[in-house]
Amino acid sequence: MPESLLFGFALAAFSPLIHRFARGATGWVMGALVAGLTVRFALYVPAITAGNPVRTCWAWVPPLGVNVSFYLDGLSLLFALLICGIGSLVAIYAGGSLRGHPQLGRFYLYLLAFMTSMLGVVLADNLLTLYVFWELTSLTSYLLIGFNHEDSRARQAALQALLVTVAGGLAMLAGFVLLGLAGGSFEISVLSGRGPALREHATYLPLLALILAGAFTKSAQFPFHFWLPNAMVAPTPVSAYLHSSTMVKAGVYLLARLSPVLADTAAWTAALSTVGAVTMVIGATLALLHTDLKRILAYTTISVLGGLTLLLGLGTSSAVVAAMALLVAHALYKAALFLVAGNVDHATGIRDVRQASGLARVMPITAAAAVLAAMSNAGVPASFGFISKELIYEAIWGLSARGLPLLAATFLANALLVTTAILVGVRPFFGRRTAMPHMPHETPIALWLGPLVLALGGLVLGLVPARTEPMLAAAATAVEGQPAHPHLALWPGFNVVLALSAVTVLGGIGLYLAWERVRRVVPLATITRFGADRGYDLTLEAMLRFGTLQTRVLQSGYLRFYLIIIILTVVSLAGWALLKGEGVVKLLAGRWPSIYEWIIAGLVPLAALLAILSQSRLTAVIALGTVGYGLALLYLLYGAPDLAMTQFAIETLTVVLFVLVVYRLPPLVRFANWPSRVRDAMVALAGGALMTGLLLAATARPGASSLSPFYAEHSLSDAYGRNVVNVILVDFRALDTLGEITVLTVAAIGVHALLRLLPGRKGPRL
Amino acid sequence: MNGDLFTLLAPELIVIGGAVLALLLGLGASPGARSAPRALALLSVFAAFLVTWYYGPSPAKPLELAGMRFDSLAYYIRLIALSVGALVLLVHWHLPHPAERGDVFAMILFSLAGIMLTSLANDLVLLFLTIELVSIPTYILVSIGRSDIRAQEAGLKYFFLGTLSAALLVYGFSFLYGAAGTTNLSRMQLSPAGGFVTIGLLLAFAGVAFKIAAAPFHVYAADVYQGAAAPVTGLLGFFPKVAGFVALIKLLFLMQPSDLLTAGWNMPGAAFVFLWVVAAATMTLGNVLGLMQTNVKRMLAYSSIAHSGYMLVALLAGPVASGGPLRDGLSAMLFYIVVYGIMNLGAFAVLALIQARGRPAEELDDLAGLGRREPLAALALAICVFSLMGLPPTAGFFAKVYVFSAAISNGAAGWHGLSLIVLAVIGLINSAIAAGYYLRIVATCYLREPVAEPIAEPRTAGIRLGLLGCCIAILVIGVWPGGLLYMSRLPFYDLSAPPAVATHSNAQSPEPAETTEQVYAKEMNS
Repeated sequence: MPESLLFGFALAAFSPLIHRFARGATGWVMGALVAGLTVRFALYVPAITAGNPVRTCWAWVPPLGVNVSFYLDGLSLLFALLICGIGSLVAIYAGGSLRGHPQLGRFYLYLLAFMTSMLGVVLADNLLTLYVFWELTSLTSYLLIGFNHEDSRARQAALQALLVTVAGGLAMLAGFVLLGLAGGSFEISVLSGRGPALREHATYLPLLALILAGAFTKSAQFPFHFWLPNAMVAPTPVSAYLHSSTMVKAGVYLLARLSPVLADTAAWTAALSTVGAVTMVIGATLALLHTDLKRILAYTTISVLGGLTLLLGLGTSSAVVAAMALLVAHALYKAALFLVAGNVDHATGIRDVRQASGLARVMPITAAAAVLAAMSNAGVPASFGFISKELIYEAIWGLSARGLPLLAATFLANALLVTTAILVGVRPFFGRRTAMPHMPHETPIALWLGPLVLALGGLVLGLVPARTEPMLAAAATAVEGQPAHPHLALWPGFNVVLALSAVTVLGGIGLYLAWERVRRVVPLATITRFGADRGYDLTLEAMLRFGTLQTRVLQSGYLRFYLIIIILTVVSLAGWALLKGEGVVKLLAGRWPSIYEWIIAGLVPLAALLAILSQSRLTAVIALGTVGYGLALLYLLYGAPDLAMTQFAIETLTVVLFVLVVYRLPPLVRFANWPSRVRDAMVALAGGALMTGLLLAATARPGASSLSPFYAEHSLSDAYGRNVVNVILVDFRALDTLGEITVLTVAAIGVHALLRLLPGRKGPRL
Repeated sequence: MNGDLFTLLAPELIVIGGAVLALLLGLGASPGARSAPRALALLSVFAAFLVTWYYGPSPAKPLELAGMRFDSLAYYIRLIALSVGALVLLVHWHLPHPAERGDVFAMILFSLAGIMLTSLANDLVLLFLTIELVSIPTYILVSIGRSDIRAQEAGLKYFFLGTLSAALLVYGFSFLYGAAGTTNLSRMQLSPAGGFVTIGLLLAFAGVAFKIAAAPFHVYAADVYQGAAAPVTGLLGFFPKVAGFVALIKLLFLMQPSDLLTAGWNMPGAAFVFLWVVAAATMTLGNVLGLMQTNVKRMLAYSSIAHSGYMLVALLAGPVASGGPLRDGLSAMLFYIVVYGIMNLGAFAVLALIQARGRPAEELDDLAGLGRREPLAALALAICVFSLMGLPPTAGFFAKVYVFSAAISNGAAGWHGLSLIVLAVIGLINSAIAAGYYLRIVATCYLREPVAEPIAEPRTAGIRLGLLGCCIAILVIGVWPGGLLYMSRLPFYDLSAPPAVATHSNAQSPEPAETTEQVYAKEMNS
């Protein structure tokens, strides 16, 4: 089974090359190869339905116990079959609909990479492996939505879909990490056995919330549903494949896969059934208000995804079976309807459902496929959609009084789905023909084969539902964690559920007849203004505003503002620590300075003030030198004569260097105005206050240093010198002195070089 | 790893020797002598790598000598600095004017030697000096050979603010010295409760925050990155960051009790809050500002800031490692920094490559249609950017998983553990925001029409080789992270062993020392 992934990725990588040779037949070649993959998975069916799952595992990051592992059971096999089977039909379809597109080779690269990633999602047994493939599907979906990249709407929609799903994916990753820690393993098959303990775990709620965020964004659940209709700018094969039958089901798959681990708690049931029911109703309602064929289909897809979430949230045996049946039915009819919509667009240039009519005579095969798929969508008897709807009603009817609101929601959504089924699958093909942009014509075989096969598939499964029992049983078993025995019948007999079905269909037809009136009453523009799409826009906008503000405040580009930011931060940080640690009183109760210290303490600030206020650079430089000399004197007072000596030398050199540089500078210009000078003075005073405080705190402490006595004691005994300063300079700190001499020499060379640079003067050669 | 200081320091001496020779050769008049520095630089880095590799990780009891500590952290940092350093040299290959080659390659080597010495420093004074040895050459590199005013401005800003941060750092160190009474890091036993410790740590953190471009000390980064040449910017994303993070690790270790591996960091509450706020602000500011940019270099500069935030998250999570996979934040950080250094360098290498071909590579528009114009360069850029985004199967993916899982799973009692989870969530949200601008880079390369055809085909073999190295490293680490991960976990096994203090001779412990690998193997078996 991992080899099928390798095969898929290799096929994707070579598809541009294959396209170069196959030319017009690329779609057929790709379709055949993917069909081969489908057969490969079909061969697993006997083993899996007999209850023998397959597992492979390699160590990926052995030190951390992270594996790459794959697991094939009923659930993953069901998905794999859908992914490959529909994939091969879509590959053929794309060959026809994108015929002659200059980037067709690249399209197949993305499409097959997506297909393989999707297979990876459903086959992965390790949570991190699953996440890797999950993000790959988001990424390939981004590339596919943005395939017509000249269109700015396509680029925006692609980015939106990616941002929403990647954000959800990251939340899911956090949830996976928590889950892995709580369960002690990243292997889903191991975690499945630890469900009861995990549901009691302290981190159950956070991890559930995070994982659900991932599943809900991917499967377009309310309020994250908005990206899916916008993604309809993608080429039709992409919409049919990714955004109805496979990728958007990844979230549902995840919920189903983790059901044995996480399901059957109050939180799980409440979250899934509420979100699912709301999504189901909102999706179906919005579908009715749109007129674009693909958007209608996108909203009905959202509705069905909500239904699937609801069913998995209920988690009863019959609900799980109903979910699996709905999954299959929907994948078949929705992909078919999307391809039909693509055919209508292809043949007539029309995407608005109001404009197309009477196409059945010119496009008989497409029309047949459309009607069959619409039957399944509407849940008319003899279609698989009918059987799945029976199962859903049965599951929810079994809930008794508690399920009444859910029953009402399901009924409403299903009735609306009937209406949309008629709108999309029937209305364009019957009635009087109207004027159209292109002369309508039947599409070539590559375009009608896919929808027809899918629609016929729905019919055949609907006629012999018992044949699907083993596969659905295997899938439901995997979801429930205990053997399931579904019973599917072509005709359930007359009962309440059948009556509900009948009323649903009638209600849907009634709604269809009133469609124009409903659309006129409900203002779509008002709804979109408060919709989640708007929320997404506002979030992005707010982020950009925040960024602009940041840029203005923090990134002015002026060095002085950067300095102010740094100084103020440090002052507040260290000042806080100082006051907290030492206290004001303790600071002021320090040692009283001596007269010499007072003199220096007077001299240094005065010199500094002079440096700031002076109008000439030379004065400022000399004043700065005085500050340095004052500091050197302080060193001398505190018993560091060697340091003082160095400081004197450095200060002298610095002044000389400064003077040389100043000589070449243009005259001093005063840039700052009064307010900014006051501000600068405040900042400087704050910095000075901090330094004073720190100094007071430091001097108030008994010195931990034993350096001075050490020198005095060891000067004679170790270094045979009575002059302690000399000994320090040439013996104890000989290397320092060497370094200082080097620095002074280098500085002197710099002075020399500057002297030679002076205009009109030739310095002596070295 | 026997012998005297000169043997132990052989890798550093080789690099510094190479730098001095390169500097001298660069002064030569003949063209041959002037082109020698780069080969010499690469050779010395290679030789130093081999020597370090040959010495291997430290024994279970690291040797301490002359204010240095030869432990596995140093081993790891030396290896990664030299590996990424070699890539940095390659990316610089064609950049400098022949007359400045000696200077440029010498400065890179000096900075590199600074990183290696930082990892060895076991004394506050030496730590300060080595960090400055990393920084000062970078000030020169930013403005060297660039006559345009922006580069000059960038160099000046960088220098002034860098000096200020160095002053903060050393001032903080002086308080730590005042609190401990010694500058030797192994003998410093700081109590987090001390007032001086908090002041010293906060000041030192502020100084380090500048080196790693963490908020609010990040303000210079975008201007400097934009002004410097693309290869230099690639270097700036790695060299000062490594030095800064190594210093942070060393500072945090000053307060650790012996049960570090199970209890997590022991630090003053104020320091924790400071690092937490800095990490959150760094990630958020970096990414939100990144969203605003149309200049690719500024965009990547902000991304660099944001990535410092992610690494701070991992560092804060600390070296708690028992009780589950993917928990060790310290090794996550050490892992991340290498991956970040490589992917960041790779992205800038692509810009350098385009520039070397005589086309501008500043604005996003300059990259339009790169996928059509130069498919390989565009692919390399896509790999690097996807890695920066954290998408599988690149190295950035695993690095990010490791970092955030360490923070999420820290599980420290009380508000510590909870605040780390909040921090991880902020980081995850930020990763999503960052995707917004990273994708714009890739989208511009692939989804937009090229503006013009490539102009010249000058010699760019060095850059291309460096870029190839980056891409291969990203993919190989992405697919098989085990090797680097094993290496990044070495330092953490040192923690369990107390240091062997050797004064002037190499004191061998009487009992046969357990090697790190043995400790490691034991843990894996248990």
